[in-house]
Amino acid sequence: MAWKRNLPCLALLIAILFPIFVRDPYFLHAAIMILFSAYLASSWNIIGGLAGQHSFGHSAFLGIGAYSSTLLLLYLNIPPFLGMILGGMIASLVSVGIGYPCFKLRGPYFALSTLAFTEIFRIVVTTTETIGGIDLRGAAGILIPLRKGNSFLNFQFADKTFYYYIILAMLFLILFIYKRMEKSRLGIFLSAIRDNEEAARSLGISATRYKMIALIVSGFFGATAGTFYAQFFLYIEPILFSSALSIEILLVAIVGGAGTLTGPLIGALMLTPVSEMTRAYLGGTYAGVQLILYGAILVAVMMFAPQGIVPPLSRRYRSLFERRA
Amino acid sequence: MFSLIEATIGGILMGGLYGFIAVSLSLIFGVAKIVNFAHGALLMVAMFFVYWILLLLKIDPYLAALLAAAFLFFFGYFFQNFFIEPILKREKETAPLTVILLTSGLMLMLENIALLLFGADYRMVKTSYTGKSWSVGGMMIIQPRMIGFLLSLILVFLLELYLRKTNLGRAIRATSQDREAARLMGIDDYRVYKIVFGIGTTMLGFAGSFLSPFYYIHPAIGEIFVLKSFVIVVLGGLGSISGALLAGIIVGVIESLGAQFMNSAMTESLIFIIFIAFLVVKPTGLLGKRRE
Amino acid sequence: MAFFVIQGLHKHFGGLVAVRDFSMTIERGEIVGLIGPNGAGKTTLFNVITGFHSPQRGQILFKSKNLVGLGPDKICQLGIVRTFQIVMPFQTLTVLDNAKVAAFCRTRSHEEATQSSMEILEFLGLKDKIHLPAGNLTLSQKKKLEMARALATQPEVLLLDETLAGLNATEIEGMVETVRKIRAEKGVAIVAVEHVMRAVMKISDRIVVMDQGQKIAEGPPQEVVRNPEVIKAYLGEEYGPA
Repeated sequence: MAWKRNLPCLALLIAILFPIFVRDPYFLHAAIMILFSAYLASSWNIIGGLAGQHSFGHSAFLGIGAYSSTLLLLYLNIPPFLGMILGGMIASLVSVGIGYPCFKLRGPYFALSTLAFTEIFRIVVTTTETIGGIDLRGAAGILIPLRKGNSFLNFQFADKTFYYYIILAMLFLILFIYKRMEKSRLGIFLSAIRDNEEAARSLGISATRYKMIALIVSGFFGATAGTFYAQFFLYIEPILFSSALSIEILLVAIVGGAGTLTGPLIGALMLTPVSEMTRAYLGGTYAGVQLILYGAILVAVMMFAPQGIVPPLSRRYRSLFERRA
Repeated sequence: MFSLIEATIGGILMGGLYGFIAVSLSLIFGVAKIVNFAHGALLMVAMFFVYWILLLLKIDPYLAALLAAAFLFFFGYFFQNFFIEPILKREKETAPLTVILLTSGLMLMLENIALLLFGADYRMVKTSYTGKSWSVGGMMIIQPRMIGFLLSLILVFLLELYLRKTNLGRAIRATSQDREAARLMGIDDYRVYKIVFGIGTTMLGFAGSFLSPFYYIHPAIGEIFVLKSFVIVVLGGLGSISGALLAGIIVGVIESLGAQFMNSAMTESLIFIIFIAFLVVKPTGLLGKRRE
Repeated sequence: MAFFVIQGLHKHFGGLVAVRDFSMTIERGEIVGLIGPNGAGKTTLFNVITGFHSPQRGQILFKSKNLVGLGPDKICQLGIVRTFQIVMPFQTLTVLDNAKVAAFCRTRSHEEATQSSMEILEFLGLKDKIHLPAGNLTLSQKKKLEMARALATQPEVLLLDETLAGLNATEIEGMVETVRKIRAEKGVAIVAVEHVMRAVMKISDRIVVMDQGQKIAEGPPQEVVRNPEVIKAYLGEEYGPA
């Protein structure tokens, strides 16, 4: 039964070979969206799943990353890959400002306060035309000038395959980091805080410090997703900061299984095709249909499998594995 | 100066309605501990109900209030019974997040089904008094706002009476203070949650009919109301009806006065900022009961 | 230098006074039983000592350092740890990881943490359960885990909050022995809040009695039990297997 143990390697192999065998640009686009959604949900998973702090404001980081790298590109000509890192650092800084008040709260109050924060950002970006000479364009959004051809310097590729492999690499990286974090001292602390913050504190853990670290890391990666988004779609708008988008992000992680390594990926594999297909078949007229389905899936998962898909599956997987071994 | 007073009065009237809606949320959140993100969407359902009743049956919104209230009562009862209660009963394994996400999912569904059925156009209920105002001392008071405000106050007063004088009302107050103790005294707390949810949605039915003569109707308005309602509930203090009313009026006035000096979107962020500040500094709100 | 001194501690919540002008000392390595009717303020006292609540008045001096105002994590690092009345294991972590969480209080290294955790888990008879998720243990095993976690922080003072609640007679005997062993082998000072009188009498060097937030008696077990004030406070109430 060696192949069961190698399932992850097999999956990775399939992922790497995918664009070679599947040339249809529609499917390639869909695959990129799946990986992107998995990456974004994985970045939430660090604060929401591992640390158990259910942030409803993750889209703030997406927006900060997208706007930071774009503005750095347009005004200071900074190449987007570098802008990605800088955007991540800016998001980390902002996350400290968000975490400081919000971590004083628990449960629904924490969720509400993070939601309020991202809404504040959305409102500010929507209604502000210029700040200190920098044009945010408000609700109209910002267009990134198209550069022809494939260029790593410009982070723009006519051939979508490049984007595919970049997001695949990013996803691999974040999953690797998540796995290392889980087993590390930090990860064990975060799991303890998640399971019982009071007990963790009484055992010498400074809960606030570690939650903040988790948020900083989570924010950094969330922002990098923003840069990818910006360079892929070449258009960013304030809706990236919306609380509805925050809910969509955490939905992916929750449906798959928050706090598990592969949960966000499984969630993305389940949900993204839903949205891609409804978009394809029903188009703009029925823009809301995908959300009806998302809502229904969310309700169903909460009622029947609140831990997400992965935990019960991995128990089955493990017990199958153990019986034969 | 004049326009400031007018704006303040307008804010108080609107705020009273905000407070009324917040009271309905405070019941559900405070007593049943359900974080109902679908609260605004349910209000939206009420408003569409009133709209269609007017259009199809030609019944005036205020008269239709009882119909709307009844409709929302059953709608809410169904909601609670089928979706929320099974989760509450799994208490030991239920994280608060589960209910939040469940109601978020229900909100997504309600909103987008409405979008699908009714489209994204903004609608207005047109009655003989829509857009009309009274002139008091030279200031304009919008009629439907005043009527809605007064009716809301009356209903809240009746609610307070109910909670204080009836057995069921006392059971509700007991459960909200200490669930375990209430259970030990023989109160079926799940029945209390059902009733409280029903009262909450019934109030939304009334609110829908009070709002429709002057507030635009659109599938997404729930989003604005739900956030605002939670802000008001927290500002006013969980568990305090008068606190929710007071906070609602304060928010209404801030909005109204703010609109004189900055655009409406900025007043919204101002309210959120005040919200966060309150959560951190005084999470029990203005009049809330302290819990250790 | 006095080891552990509580002076004039006063804690109220709104109008309710939970701990009233309370003073007490603890000597190194002694076992103090803390008893009193329900609502006497015992758990609140623990909460104040461990930093979960701030007292309005009073001092808590541990090796001359005032603990008032410090957070629970700092207090644990200084050497004072507690267990909880309702067990609070980290459900999703294994038994070993539960202990390691606490062991990391004293070291940053995984090897050292694992080693000291294994030692303590073995000491408490949980060695064969180390890879099980903590949520799968029986109640008495969870209580042992709770104790193991506390011990993994290498405390000098261990506050036990109703460790025996919910255990049967055999388990109680076992736990009493364990507590004795802990004091004997680790030299930890222990303050045990308990309602199981038989156990408290057997194990305590000294008993402190609380009622309505105040200390009403203090002394060797035999003396305290005959104290008329104590009898009055308990009149008409019964506790567990006695």
